[in-house]
Amino acid sequence: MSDTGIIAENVRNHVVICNWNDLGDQIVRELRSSVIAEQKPIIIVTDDLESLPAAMRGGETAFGGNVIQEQDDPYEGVFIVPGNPTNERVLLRAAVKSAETAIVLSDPREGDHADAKSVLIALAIEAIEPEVHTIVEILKSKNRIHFQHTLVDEIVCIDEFSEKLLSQSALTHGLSDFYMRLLTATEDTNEVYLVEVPERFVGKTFREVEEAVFNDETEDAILIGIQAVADRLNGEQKVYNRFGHQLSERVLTINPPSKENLANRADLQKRGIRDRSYKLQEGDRLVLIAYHLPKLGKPTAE
Amino acid sequence: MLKAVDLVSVRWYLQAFRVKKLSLLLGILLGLWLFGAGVIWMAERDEAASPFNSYTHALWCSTVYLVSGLDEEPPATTVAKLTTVFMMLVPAGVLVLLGTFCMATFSRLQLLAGHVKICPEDTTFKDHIVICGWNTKGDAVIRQLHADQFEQGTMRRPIVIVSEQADSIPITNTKAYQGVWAINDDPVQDPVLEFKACVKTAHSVIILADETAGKAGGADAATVLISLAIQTICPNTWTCAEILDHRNEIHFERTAVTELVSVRNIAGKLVARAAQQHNLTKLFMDLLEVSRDTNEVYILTVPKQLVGQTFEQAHAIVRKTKRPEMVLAGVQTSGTKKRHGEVVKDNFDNEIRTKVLTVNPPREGREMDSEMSTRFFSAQAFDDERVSRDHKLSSDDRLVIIAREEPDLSILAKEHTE
Repeated sequence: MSDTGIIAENVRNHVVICNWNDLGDQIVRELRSSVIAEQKPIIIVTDDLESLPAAMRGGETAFGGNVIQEQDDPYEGVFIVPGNPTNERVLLRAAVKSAETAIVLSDPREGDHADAKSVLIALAIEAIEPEVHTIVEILKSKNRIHFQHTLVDEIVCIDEFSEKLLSQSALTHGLSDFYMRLLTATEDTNEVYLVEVPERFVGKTFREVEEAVFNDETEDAILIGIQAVADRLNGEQKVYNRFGHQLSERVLTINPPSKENLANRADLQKRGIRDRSYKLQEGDRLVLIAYHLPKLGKPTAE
Repeated sequence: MLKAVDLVSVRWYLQAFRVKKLSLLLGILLGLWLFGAGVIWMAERDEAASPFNSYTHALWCSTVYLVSGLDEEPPATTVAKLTTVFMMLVPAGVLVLLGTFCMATFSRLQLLAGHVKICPEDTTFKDHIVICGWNTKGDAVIRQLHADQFEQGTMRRPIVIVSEQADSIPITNTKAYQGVWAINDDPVQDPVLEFKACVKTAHSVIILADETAGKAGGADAATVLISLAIQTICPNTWTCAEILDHRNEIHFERTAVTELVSVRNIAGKLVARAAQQHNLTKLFMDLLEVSRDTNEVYILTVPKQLVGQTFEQAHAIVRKTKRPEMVLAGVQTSGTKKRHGEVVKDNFDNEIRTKVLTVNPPREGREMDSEMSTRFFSAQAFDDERVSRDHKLSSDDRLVIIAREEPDLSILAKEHTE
């Protein structure tokens, strides 16, 4: 496994995609959009090479796998590590240790047991590097509970997403268009950006920053929420990593409520929701709708 | 709207208990009772010793004959005697029939219990939501449409499900399924959609993908057929269709579908965005979840007081509002439907009008490099012309608002003018 060392040294802050399904192509294309300033390397870990797009199956061997050639532009800088992503050694070859994000897609070959395989992969990634930001696609929302005891950062259940989107679109006409525009990374559409609070906004309230951002002539951006640092909780208990360090997380508050409204909502307070008069602190983030990463602060990195 | 739902419920109960047939049976019994008593009284009225010479007593005896048998002495005349025999035999049969009928009705109700109620015949709906087809997502869609948040107000609308398996849909939440009606028929049939589901007067139509069709292509083909049927009946009804393969979007170009939800396409985008901007899925799920704890996106008509104001001015007004807290995120205007820069026309060569959404309108004069912007996304490029911050709001425009509950924008404007 000499290749492992080569990758760990050479590839950093990359995106690892475990398993491959029809979402994979969409994800690669989105990550290669022209509005993404920093094009990160992508490593695909799968033992189902047949399912990969034809353009990906050829190419030179590198790092014990294949490198995608420029025949198809979005696949420039995309590597394949063949092997089962539940296997720790295979994940090490994909340099999960130094990855910024790991995406676990559901394996269509597993049928109804695809979520079980995703749990195994998520646990394997955590065992190697708990700090990597893990996003898992699950097929059944009832399996969400199995991920509660893992350190998975984000779970995407497509059925859940579509149910909500379909019902809300029926009530509020044009809503799917709104989401498509926010989720499509092109230069003439908006995206949601999370940016560190710039120094000049530290100590200011949401209301003040909202006005300042909207009136900033160098940017076309709208502030819709904030992300403040809070203790990571599992139910009501704090979460610690295997080294005994308490984990923290950023709690998202969209459209913060007024102080008076929040005072009557103990449940929201417990979740760490901030009110409109909350004074932004260093380390907090602004949630912005903008056409490109606004130059209010440095780009975010987990 | 609620009154209309209640009326349908009353009609459903009348039909479920088969009140028409029950009334007929009870009518026959009543007729026999009155008729028998009348005949006995007529035949016996001249018999001085007969106890049946008063009509009230004849009625009493007639009642006894109906339910048990002879009461006192038998009548004196032959006609009255024959009538008495008739009264003891025939109504007994009718009573048995009535008992059997009641048992059958209750057994049927027992079978229907726990399933969505079948819509009574000749029911008309208005401002309702029609769901064509049914799949595993249907239940969650109904729960979202009838979430607690919409318990009051205009957002809670009756729901009509049109599916060939509609009568077997289980009720998983009694509250959410109040005002939900099933039409057990094929949603591809025009008459079913027009006369039973009343799509012409519907607020929206949702077409769910037929997951039993096997491959995505088959399911999307069925969705195209339903949307074409809706196009024929009412091209202006807002139709939202679920498609499984976004490459099939092109087939919906000339159908009535106004919103296409290509689930896996959106999910792919979401995962990719989350890889770039961590924790974004939470943001989107928060926006999509309908509850009192979370925000939703509302697209609302511009209140009179804001007509003529620019988007920038409207944003300042919204910012100043203290209750309810909201964020103005965009504006929806009227425009022509375009694809790859060209105006899309219908079969009669008319330009198709559509709503153009501008999220976060840019400042005047900020142009984009369209060639760059559509890299890798030629099929999904947004061709329509967006408005700028200086766009003056008209009464036809709508505002895109992020809020925890549907805000009353007329109050917002009054607050500002005061």
